[in-house]
Amino acid sequence: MEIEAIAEETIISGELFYSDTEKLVKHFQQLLESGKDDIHIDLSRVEAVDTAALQVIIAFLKSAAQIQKKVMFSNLSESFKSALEITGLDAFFNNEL
Amino acid sequence: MLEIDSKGLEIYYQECEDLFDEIEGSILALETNPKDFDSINTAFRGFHTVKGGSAMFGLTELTDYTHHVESLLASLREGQISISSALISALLDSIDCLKMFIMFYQEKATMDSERISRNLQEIKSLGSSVLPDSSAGTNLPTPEISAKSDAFSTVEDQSKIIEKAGVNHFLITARFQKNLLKEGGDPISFIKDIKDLGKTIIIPHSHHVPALDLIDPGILYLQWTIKLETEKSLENVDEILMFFTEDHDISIEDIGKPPVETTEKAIINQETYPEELPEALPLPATEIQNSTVKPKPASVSSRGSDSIRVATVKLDKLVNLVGEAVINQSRFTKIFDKVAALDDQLGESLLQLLDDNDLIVREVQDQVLNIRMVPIQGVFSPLHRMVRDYTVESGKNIRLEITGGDTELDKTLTEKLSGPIKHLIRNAMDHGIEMPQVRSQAGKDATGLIAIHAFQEEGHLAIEIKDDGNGISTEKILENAHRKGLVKTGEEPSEQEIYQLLFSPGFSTAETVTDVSGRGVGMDVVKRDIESLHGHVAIESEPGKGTLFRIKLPLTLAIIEGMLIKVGPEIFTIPLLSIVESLRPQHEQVKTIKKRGEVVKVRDEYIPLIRLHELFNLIPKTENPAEALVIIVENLGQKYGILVDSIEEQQQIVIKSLEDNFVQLPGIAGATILGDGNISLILEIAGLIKYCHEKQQKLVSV
Repeated sequence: MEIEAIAEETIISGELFYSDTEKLVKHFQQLLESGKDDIHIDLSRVEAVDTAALQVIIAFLKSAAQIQKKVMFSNLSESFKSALEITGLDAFFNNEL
Repeated sequence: MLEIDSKGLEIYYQECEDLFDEIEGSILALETNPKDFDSINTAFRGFHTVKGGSAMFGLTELTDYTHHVESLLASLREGQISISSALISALLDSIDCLKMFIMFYQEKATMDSERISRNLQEIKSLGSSVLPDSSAGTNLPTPEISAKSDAFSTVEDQSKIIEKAGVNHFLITARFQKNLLKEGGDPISFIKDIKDLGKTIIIPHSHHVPALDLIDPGILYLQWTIKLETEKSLENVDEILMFFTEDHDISIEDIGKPPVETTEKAIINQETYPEELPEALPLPATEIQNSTVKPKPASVSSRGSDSIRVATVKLDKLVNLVGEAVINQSRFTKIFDKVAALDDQLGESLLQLLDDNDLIVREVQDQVLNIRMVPIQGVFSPLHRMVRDYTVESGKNIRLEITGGDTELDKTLTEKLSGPIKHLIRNAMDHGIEMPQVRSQAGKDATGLIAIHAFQEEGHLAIEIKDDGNGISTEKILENAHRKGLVKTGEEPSEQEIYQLLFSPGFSTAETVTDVSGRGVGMDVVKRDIESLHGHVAIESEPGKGTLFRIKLPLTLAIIEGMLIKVGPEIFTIPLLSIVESLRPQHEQVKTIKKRGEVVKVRDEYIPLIRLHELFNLIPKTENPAEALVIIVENLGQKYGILVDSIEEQQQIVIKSLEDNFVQLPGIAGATILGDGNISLILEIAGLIKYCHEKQQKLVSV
């Protein structure tokens, strides 16, 4: 998994697996601590995602909601969408938290 | 984040080794029977467990690697790819890679990263379809497109038989084990399995997922409720999801009624004409309504609960202690004689107590030895892989047939037996079995057969390794032996003696037996290894028809049946396995033959005589063989006579290693403690003969 920040956007690419969750948590925490109100995350380059990573994303959304930050995921890759569809979490993402 | 627990790791490595054998077996089984769904499941389960453990111990490279192999197997299970020889080879290779990982982590070997990445590439290209939890760039399988390949039609067919008319509705509640993610698992594969069954509505429950600062990514917080509309029956659904229901809290509830008419009819039919009922009629609706499938006792994980792993050192200690108890028992018996002479009544009570105790001690001894007994199959199983690899490389067709794999023997023996057996099989493949066209020309089946048969015979273990290859010609062996000076001109060795030449160090010709793949084990080492286990190996062969190796071994090394013999003041023990007979020769039966030394003639056979007292510098009761006894022993088909004063008794003896407690002596296998507390040395026949020859040669050269 790679995370890079380009301008206002964070781009997450590669495979998001359990082994990456620690890094993912750290990065999300940094995003929450940053002064921005809106967080933009591009998921177009996500090649695969597992349940462990999805849980971290949900936790991130919950934390963001608590401090009234808006998280916007854009360009969901096909594999990310598939994972959402299988787990039933797609509805969850569309409605935001 | 994870604390590495070294003991846990050790257990994990051990478990992996066991799993590798199991996985390998199932993959090989899959090659012979591609429709074997169980084998795919076993392999999948195996890789899954390896992955789970690796994730738990933070061995990330291994987790990543196994993840890809597991995905390949998942695609195979889902029928997205079919079995090919390349696939089997890649999977087998992946087991070797896994072994390498484990060896590397154990610091026993270096890592061949190139090989790993090559295999990974292969695995990835073979399974170009979805990863169960990554779904990279592929469509989701819908019921329409998840048509299974031929390989799994059996499972499909089975389900069709019990499939009921109409559509069933199930409510599946899935509460997975919290540690599932940590162990490398993922609910995604479970949900996908359900999605494959029909129409689904998937409802995730995310309220347990905490905020980011509280999350432990290893814990699975999500739970699901899934509504499934399918043509499958409850039994079917349960069967398909069995892999998960075994380990997790998953309930499957039938919430849909089949059309009321059918159900009522069924009930009426059942009451009136039960014999006309087709087998697959639906159960009455009321019964279905409440039938919830409970998690089944796990067939694989139960292995952990009704057995434990014990270090062999602990068992060895136990065997030793029990041995001591047996010895003490006979010492008590000796004291009893004295007590009984002093006091009849006391003697009587003591005798009863001794008898009771004797029974118990012997029972304990049997049980302890029994714990060490394992099926010999463990030695044989890896041979399938070896034969397969060889056939792929060599272009020969070879079938390996194993019978008697459940024959049990001491664990120590199985460990030491593996090398020699592998070597004999390699020889049989390389030098025994001919190329298919050669075999066909000779009127044989193009596929060669190597048959291994293990069985118990007279308290011993016998292993026969038979091939139907070109056999070994005695003339060629003899010719080679003459050339190497192993047999002198004019000597006429017997057939068995000629075959035994194959076991001489450095004896190898292309026509006979050599170390095939340069793994450093020669036939002389095979012989030495088997002899070190107090066993023999004999050969029978017929040119053009094949060769038979016959190995005979004791069932255990800890306790053997021994014959106690006396020479002067010393009592020695001869393993009963080596003894052919005993006799008191007539004066004229003992002769001295030029070049062969002293021999005893038994039924027209001249058997070399070993005077034990001379060998060990003892003063015997008599030096005259006609007044003493000759114990005829056999080693590698060659008989020897050992001159002793008398035979004391035959008994079970507990072997104590001299090497561990004292020093290794030539011709002595170890020692045992006798009932009176004295020590008896156990003779090792092969070593004794060698020692005897060396001593004679020294005398000659002096």
